[in-house]
Amino acid sequence: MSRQAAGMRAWILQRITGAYIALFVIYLAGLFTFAAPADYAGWSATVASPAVTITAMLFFLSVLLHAWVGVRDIAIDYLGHTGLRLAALTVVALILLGSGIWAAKILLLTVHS
Amino acid sequence: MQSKTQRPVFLDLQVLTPRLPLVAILSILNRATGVLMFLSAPVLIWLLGVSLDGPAGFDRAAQFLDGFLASLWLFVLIWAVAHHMFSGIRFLLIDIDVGVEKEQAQKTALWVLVAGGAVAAITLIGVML
Repeated sequence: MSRQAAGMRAWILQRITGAYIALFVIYLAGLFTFAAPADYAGWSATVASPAVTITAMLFFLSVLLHAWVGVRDIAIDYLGHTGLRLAALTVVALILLGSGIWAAKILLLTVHS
Repeated sequence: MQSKTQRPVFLDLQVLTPRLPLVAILSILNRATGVLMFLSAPVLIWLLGVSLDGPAGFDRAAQFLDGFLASLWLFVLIWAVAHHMFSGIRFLLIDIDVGVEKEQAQKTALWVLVAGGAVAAITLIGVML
């Protein structure tokens, strides 16, 4: 993954995912400011609507990729020791992959069951 | 022996910039808020799962967010998201050659700080009203 995310590709990926995340965050801010879900029925209906489920899946995927590029940049800058950097990035990758699968499971199984 | 007289001279240019420039502070804050959001992500996903786990789960999630520490965390997180977003928009503008010059870059850096702070302030006022 790190080879694929190297250089120009990571740079472009970071900007595309960043723009999408910003749009979704603005939607979320609007939702919680002007139409905050008051109870479970309203909240689950909102999340279960196909448009929200699909855009939220894309949001989590974008966050996963965006966080990976960002944390990797920081690790490259501050963790000089190769083994230490590799270990740290492995933990980060596992956390991100686990979080992504967990979020997908919530969106697909908990809401649409 | 001409080479002896032409040795490189060390100029300590660090003394010319004694304080951390605003753009550097912004760069550090972009990373710090990014790391904070990365660390918060699993908690947020956990909250999403709990809130969608039936009416009792929804109440449990709401109750969790009512706690003092959780409220404080959420407040800092909202600021972090807002700040990181404005900071990112600034980077996108710099990519298309807007605000690259030193004076403009410093000005937009200040705007980002103010805009992030404004979102935090509005959030705080909204919670208190």
